[in-house]
Amino acid sequence: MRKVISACVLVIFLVVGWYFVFRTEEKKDLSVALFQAPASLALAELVPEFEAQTGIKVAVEMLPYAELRAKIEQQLVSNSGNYDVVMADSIWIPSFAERGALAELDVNSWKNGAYDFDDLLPELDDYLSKFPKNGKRYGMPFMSNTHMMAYRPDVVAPVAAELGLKLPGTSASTAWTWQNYLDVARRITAAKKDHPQRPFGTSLQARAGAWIVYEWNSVLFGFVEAKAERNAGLPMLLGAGNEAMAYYASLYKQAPQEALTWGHEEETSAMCSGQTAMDATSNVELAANLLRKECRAAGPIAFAYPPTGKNGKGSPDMGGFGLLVTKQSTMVSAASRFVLWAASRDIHTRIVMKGGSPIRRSQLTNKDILEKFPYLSFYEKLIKDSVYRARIPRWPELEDIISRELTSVMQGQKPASVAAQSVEDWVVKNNLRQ
Amino acid sequence: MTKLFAFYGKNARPIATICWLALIVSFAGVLASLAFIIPHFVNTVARADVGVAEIWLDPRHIQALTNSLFVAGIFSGSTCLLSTGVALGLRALRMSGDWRIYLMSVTPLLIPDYVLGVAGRVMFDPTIGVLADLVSKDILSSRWMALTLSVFVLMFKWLPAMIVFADSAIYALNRPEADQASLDFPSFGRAVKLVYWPEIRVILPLIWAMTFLIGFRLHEFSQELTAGGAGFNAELWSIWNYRVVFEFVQVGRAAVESVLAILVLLIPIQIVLRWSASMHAPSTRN
Repeated sequence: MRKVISACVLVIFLVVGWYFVFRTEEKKDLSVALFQAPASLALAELVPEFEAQTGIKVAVEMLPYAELRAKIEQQLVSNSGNYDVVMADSIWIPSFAERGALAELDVNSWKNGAYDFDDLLPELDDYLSKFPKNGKRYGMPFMSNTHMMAYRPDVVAPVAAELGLKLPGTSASTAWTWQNYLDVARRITAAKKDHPQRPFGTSLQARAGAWIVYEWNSVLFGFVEAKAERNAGLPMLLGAGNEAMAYYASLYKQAPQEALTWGHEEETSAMCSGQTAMDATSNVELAANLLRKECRAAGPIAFAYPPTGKNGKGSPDMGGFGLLVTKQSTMVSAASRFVLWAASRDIHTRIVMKGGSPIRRSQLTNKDILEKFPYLSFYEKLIKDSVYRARIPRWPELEDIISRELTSVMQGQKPASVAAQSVEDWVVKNNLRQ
Repeated sequence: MTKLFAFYGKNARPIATICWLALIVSFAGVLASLAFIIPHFVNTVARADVGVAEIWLDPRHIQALTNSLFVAGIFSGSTCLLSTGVALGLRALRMSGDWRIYLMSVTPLLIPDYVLGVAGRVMFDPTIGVLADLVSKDILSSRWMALTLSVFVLMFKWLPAMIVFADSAIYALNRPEADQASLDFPSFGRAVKLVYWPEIRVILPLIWAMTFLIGFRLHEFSQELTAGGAGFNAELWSIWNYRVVFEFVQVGRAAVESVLAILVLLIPIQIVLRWSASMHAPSTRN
């Protein structure tokens, strides 16, 4: 028996030793990790063109959201170079940059003449490829997102008329206020009492975590008046936070009960099916889904500028993903070239035509794109007026705190003032406003 | 191993080898995990940014730990009860040890956890689920409903296998003994009390221990089924700990939490060990 055990231990050591001593460090393929989305699928289809042009082989791995984050973090913890390029959510970028996980983009790797950085929407370019604001460039914007209002005119118009409101337009001056939105939603939901088959007033994405906070952040900045607070990304929560939590809890009463577990897809699906009549924070990246034939079965869907807040401006919440080069990459130049290529005018426009979301001005005036996605006609306005979640490394944990407190307000477990105080206390205790 | 060789002589050698290999790999896995957790725990304690008690008593952590213990406790208790009942039922129908039932019972184990979670969601989602009209709208957002749903769906995968375990205890009775029991006790209830139950209860600690651990370590399954409930109220410990590492990037904190989880789990482990020992004590076999 001792011989057997000794043999087993020896075999284990040999296997482990062989792996560490003899494994080849030489990498030939560029390794790219992408979030599973239409834009990524479109990019993956175009990769052979990059390979033919440059001779650089690319291995693409498509991953669901949570798994993508986990794999990138594993790479950081183990300091191994699995991926040269990663597609990172905007809220991950501050943490990655602060921990030195990203390499500065080698803009000189672009060999096809001058790169047209000027065509990029500047707010998106900064938010999705640089840290801190106007800081180093670690990549390029790839998939943008912000909010707009989606609604069913045949349900909303009669109610709006009763309240003396015109239908919302595509600019801040013609949009509704948040109060208008709530009033209309209330009336629509109230009609369900006598007619249960009628839709709810509003859809929500109130799933705990990134979803509810992405949506609520838009509401929060509707109650922020000071420009400085709007620009900082993390306002004082005792005033605006309190009001926004109370407002959101009121809005939840006009939505299906189960919206507490809804993410982007369920929120959009509820609009498509006609279960809900309006969505103040419809994700532009999923808006193409609402143009499908099956969504028109319950009636037409229209798009508008989102509700405006105290300062008369809308506060759609900017999101999206950047394509970034990792510090562990041993092919920084090749990785940079790939990233620049993916975000280049020609390639990215083709990606947008296949369902990706725009990052360039030229895409927002492209006739073919506007014909296919008419709601993009006011996208540049939305991006300019967008707010963004605070660009701090500990944002994910703050998101967790906000989710829990906000949900408890929505479920009637505590008043908004107490919840807002709890969040503010946590922010102060952890010095997040430095 | 001594008993193995005593029963089977040299033929026990391959079985013993496999057992030793399994033990070595298991210990290596445990040691590797501890080799990761303990240095991070010590490092975090030494840094003293945040106290151990503060980490352990974080309400979010306590909630997640409570949720996991609830799921583990209810799942293991229910499985013990149901597997015993079904095994006795199979005995009453003279179907103990039927190979077709055993084969069918093992099949659900082939379903990956995340697939089971998705399937559960497809069935019970209050908006689009197949049974949407029959379930409460709060089924995924109410803490206790979401946790109970997790237990219920999990049964579909693991209960059949546990029935096999319970049934095998009765089936282990050799044929003459089983036939004698049928003759001596025309009342099935009496046969259960005096013959079958003493056999089944010996295996119950094993069923309880396995299902407790299965329930405690749930991860992808619960995430797919409930997404942690409303405001993370139904989040399980495994998911919380995962998020501390991969979202909050606080590996040291996750290590400190793991130490508490290990200490807490020592309690049911001790209970099972003593229970199992009492089952094998000579007086309990009479």
